[in-house]
Amino acid sequence: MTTERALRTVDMHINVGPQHPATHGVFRMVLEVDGERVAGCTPYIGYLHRGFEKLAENEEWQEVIIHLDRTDYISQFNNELCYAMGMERLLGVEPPERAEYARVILAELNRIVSHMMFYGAFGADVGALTPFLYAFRERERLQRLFEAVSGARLMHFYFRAGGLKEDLPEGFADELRRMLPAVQHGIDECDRLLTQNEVFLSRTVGVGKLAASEAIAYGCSGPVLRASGVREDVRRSDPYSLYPTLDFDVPVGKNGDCFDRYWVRLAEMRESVRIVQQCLDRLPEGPIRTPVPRYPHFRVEPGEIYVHTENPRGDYGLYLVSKGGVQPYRVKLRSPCFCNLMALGPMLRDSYLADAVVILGSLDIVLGEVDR
Amino acid sequence: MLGVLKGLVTTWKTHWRAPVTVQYPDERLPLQPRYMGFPGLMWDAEHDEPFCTGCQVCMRYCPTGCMFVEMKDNPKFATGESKRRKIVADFTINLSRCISCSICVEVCNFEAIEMTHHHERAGYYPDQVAGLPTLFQMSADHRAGVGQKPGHETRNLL
Amino acid sequence: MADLDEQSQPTPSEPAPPARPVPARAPAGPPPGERTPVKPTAQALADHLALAWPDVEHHARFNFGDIELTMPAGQLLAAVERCRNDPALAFDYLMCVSGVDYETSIEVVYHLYSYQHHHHLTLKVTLADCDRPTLDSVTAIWPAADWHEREAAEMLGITFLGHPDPRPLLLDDDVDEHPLRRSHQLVAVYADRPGIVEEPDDD
Ligand code: SF4
Ligand code: SF4
Repeated sequence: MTTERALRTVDMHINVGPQHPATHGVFRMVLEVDGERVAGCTPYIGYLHRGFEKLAENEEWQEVIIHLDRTDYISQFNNELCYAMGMERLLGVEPPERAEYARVILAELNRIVSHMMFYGAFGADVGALTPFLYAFRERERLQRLFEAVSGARLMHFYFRAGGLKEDLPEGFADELRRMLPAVQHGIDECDRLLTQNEVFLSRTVGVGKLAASEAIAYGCSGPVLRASGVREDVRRSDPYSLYPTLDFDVPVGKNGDCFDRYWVRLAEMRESVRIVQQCLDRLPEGPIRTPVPRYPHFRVEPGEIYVHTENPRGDYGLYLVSKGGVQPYRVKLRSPCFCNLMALGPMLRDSYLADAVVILGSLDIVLGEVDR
Repeated sequence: MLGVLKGLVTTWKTHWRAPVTVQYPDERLPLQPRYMGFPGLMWDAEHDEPFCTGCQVCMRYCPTGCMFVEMKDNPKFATGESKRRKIVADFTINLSRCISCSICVEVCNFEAIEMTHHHERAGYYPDQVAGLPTLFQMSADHRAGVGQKPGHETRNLL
Repeated sequence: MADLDEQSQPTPSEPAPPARPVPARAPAGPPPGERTPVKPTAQALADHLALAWPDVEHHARFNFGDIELTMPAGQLLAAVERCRNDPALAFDYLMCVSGVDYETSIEVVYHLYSYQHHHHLTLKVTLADCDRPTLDSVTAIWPAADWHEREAAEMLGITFLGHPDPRPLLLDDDVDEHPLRRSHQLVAVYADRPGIVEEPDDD
């Protein structure tokens, strides 16, 4: 009689967010908990919905880039690259070689910056605040370089159809060459700081496992998918820009747990440094823009294209429909975070409530991109 | 035990390094030459009038709709002092809404507007509207501070 | 006048006239998508589809090197099931579901990829009924379609039959417009909603 009373459990609903530091933005999830275990999760998104797709239909082709900067606001160069490539393919123009190299360099540096952001925030999620400061110190170096290149720290608006807005600043290559060892050293330092930490390991190893089949079924991409052991990278599987000519590895994890997702990103930063090194060695002189018509005459021939690039968060796709006007007819953004977030429910099931924050953090979502 | 020692060594090393943090309102990081703050209007010293003709192209292209431009006949055109038939009569930018995107600079056909290094606009009121004199001043201050024309190559790109 | 026009015509180096009317411009040659060389994987896929899908009504073309199939809405489930289960196709990754409003019809576009064979496929379904567009949901085959379909449902007003959770995703529950329809005006609609500040007057 008494035992029966003691064992009776009540399902509780816990509301996390939308304004909670652990949700990395305005994300809300309602967790159904059974004791300490999470039995179910209902995510609510849309708090940051700015109607990017509708705005894009009402802007000129090139102007849309400023809105793309604001979708995934941690990897702006990658977003711009994707859109610029889409426009170029629709127009049938090719950017000059120097522009290609500059784009790849900036996109890869942006990947480092973005993963550094993840590193800091993930450290904070598992309860270690120091990594956050280290990550931001490393990030700042590159942010200042971006500022010198594009004039803005975050919303760069630097890639255009047919090339770049303006040439790389004078001495950019030398500056970056000087900086790369420091960046590499910074990554190593971050690695030493967290990867071997026992508390960190016990919080992440075996937590939030996602099987490869599940990751594929939910359309996960990027580090989340690779951590589950699928060697898949858009830079390799559907190569674009200069990536076929570059030598780099695609790191994959084994278990698909939070630690693997962390480790894959750390390894990707090192690969990015390698890519930047190679591009710097080959960076040619020359023009940075293939001439395309200016704004009242900038029209794209009717057609449609799906372009995708490997962003720090995964497979960033844009479906562009042109009807020949000065504005895009339809821009659909396939956001990697949006798709990765779909897998949150299965990942959270049967985990501890305290691990929910770690699991969410390991997805590295950017709400600006989820909600668009 | 070993871990604690390692940590102490790191602390000891870091202790002697120059600080990374900048105490913001007292110290400031230098801005890069290309830095894009808010837009300002340039002054044509040769003719003693603004470059801007008030053509409203920037106003139409501004994605946030924060600009307002009016055009008038240029009195100096009648006297033959200037080649500009029209000149700006009124120009306001709501700096609280401006997102420093530089679209206005890139669409301007007269190279009349530039991105200045002004970026600090914290205030108590939501709408901080800069009129013509402020916009000229911003550009002039910027020129005095930088001594060069930043982002000059970026003109007329979009 | 006519003489002048003829004289100015044949000079080949003359720059294109600046103001071109938008719809009247005849595309030079095939559309840009068909100028791109066809990928070998896409060619193999096209050959397979021609053999394996005689009973599914579809229209195929190449777009930017990849194959694109257009089919009526009734055929979708059968086609999608084969895409997933035919070992020669094995499309296990649903990249994107996009809805496009063409004013006279609504199109739903599925972008597929296969991790096994590394090939891409675009499936297109045209819905003629713009007032009540209805389509079968593919969530049973690809769980990844879940949120994409919810988004298309609220943004374009498409009803996905058999969707397990048809709540709105990004918008408020009480929004009854479909923002991504072409007929939806950008600013006007939201002006009278509480809590949304009106556009300030310019002067
Ligand atoms: S700044 Fe340039 S685009 Fe804007 S009104 Fe003046 S001349 Fe025209
Ligand atoms: S910088 Fe951008 S937002 Fe600001 S006034 Fe110019 S166009 Fe408008």
